[in-house]
Amino acid sequence: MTATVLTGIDLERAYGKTPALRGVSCAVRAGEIVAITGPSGSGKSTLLLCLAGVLVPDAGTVTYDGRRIDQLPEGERSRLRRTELGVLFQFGQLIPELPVAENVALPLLLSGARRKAALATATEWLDRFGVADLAARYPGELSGGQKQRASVARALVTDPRVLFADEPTGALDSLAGEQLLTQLTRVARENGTAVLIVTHEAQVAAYAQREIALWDGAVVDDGLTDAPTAGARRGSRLAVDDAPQPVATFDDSDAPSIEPGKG
Amino acid sequence: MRLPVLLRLAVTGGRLDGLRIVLTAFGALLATLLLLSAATVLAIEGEGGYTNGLLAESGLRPGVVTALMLLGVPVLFFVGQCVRVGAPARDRRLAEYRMAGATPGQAMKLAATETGVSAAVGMVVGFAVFLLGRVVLDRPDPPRPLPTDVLPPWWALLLVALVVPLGGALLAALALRRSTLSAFGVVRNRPARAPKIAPAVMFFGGGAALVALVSVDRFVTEGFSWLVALLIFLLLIVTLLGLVLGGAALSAWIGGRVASRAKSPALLLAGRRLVADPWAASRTLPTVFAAVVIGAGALTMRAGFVADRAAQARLYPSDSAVVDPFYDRAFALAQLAVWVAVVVAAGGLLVATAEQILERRRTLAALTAQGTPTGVLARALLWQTALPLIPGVVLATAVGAITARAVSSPVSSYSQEDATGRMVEVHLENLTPWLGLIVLIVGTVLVTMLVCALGLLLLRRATAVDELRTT
Repeated sequence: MTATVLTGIDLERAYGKTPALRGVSCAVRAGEIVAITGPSGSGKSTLLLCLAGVLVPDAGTVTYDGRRIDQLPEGERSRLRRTELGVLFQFGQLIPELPVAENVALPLLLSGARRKAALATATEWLDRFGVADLAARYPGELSGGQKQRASVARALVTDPRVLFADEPTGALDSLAGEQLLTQLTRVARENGTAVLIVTHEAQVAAYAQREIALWDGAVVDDGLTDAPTAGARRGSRLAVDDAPQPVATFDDSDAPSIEPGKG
Repeated sequence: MRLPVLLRLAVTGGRLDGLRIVLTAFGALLATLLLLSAATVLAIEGEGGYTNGLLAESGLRPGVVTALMLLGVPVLFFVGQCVRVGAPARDRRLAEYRMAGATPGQAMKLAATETGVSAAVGMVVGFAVFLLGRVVLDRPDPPRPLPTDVLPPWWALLLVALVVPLGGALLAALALRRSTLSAFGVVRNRPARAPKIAPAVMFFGGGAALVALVSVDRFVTEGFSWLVALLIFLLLIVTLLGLVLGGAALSAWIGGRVASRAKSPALLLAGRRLVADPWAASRTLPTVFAAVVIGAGALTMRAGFVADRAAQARLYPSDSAVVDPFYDRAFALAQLAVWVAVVVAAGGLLVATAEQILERRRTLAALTAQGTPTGVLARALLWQTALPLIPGVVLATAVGAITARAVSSPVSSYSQEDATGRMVEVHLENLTPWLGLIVLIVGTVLVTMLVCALGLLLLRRATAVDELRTT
């Protein structure tokens, strides 16, 4: 069994008086592809941002590679996100003024890489996502799908151990979304990168090996998907009428291991 | 659209819209005060009556009017920058009006009306401050320190009252000229590349015509008429437009060179941003450059006066080597005006920096979430100002100093009879005020960068995670 790389235990986070996470626990193993699902406002993005060290939880702990990252200062968490974790959003991440190659090379330059080497690595990654021919273009000249593939290349260019993707296909049509997920999951598997994908689409969740379902800030389901790498699998399991009860609690602060297949 | 509806819709909006209205009104207030002051000085008749020779002597008053008009230029740029504050929020609002059935013309009219109304408010407050100032600052016994006994003619007052709000509305319409106001948002058409030839023709042609006009003997001895003053103002606008366009060309050129070689991410971001939008810098920096040209010119002319007086004192030891206090005061006033212009221009730059941060807050927040240190983003913003600023200021100083030297002290030695009647060679020393020019360069860069750095206070807020959800 592969080792756990990231763990969140009893995570709580509120926006003002509105709780977004209520004691959420989860763990991610190296190379695992996990979908975080749930309806709007269920706390998916908040959980992702807490696990990525972008947000600091009000309570609970986030451990990455044996280190408590929720206690690190912002500068240290920022360095971690730049070097060992990758973050991908729905939109607004490519800098419009930079050509695609420089956009992808930016995290390497930020980490002190030499310009020539950074651009060469960026071009390699663009090639892996089939957009190397667009290296000299500007984001404004790309289609939504091309833009998002360049964004994935940028998120992976530092060879992160965990990639956090918040609704990565939210702004794409279904075909472009499928192409992106196919490439993303393939490359992640090749590199042994764990991927956490926030989505409310069942078709997207179907690309994951495991699905963590949230409802109203709590985990209601955490288990293996039926067909780990297949395409569309099933419709949303969460309907408003049958609001499920929280079932998954995680209470192993020492050596986190979640038994898959619980759901 | 009926006027009440137009007015009602024009001044609605959120916090950023409110800020834009307040800043625009403030800029209009400054413009009104300057125009009224210039009109007052032009309305003074005869000689004497004031403690300050610049106001008392009719031959010197046109210079004061020119200086006030020059101060109006950075104010104009400031207003131009203010009308862009919160542009994305305003654009969304305009798009909503289009969605509700407004034509592109009506949407444009709404944007122009908002600026016009803001400028009108500033104009009214400006008139109130001016009239109040005449009462508060008045000293009844002549000679007065200020021309508080003179009121510009009614038509000049009317002209100011009309020019300020209409100018503001026109400025807003011009700012949107490259935009398509659609129901799905305001689409900014790709800006044209920075021009190269036109700025040089406008700057040097306009500048030469300006120098030629103010050098005409009759104007020097008899002063300017209204018509000549207007012509000078128009030539000034042409020259400064050349500077604006030249600023864009300079920004794009420097940005391209820096970005293609940049090793640091901050320089890369700054350089690429300058190439992508060279007009952002050109909207604010030319006023700084113009102020520096004048400041360097005044410093060099003063050095010429001092050198000449020192040479004369060596020939005729009974003479004082000190510059006539009248001229010294005039030079000091010119320097003061230059620093006021630099501060107003830097204020525009502050607004521009804040606007850039707000406009790009989602990208900035995403970059921060992905691990880009805020310090890199802050340095990128500072470089973006510094890259065109530093060479521009050095160039402006050189232009001002060389021009002033050519006009006031074209030769560094000449022959003249001394006290004994012998022809001797007179050498003028220290014609170039190196120290003063260096202080001007360093001071301008420091003041501008410090004011610009104030805008970075917004950066931490703009890179907050919440901004990732900004639409």
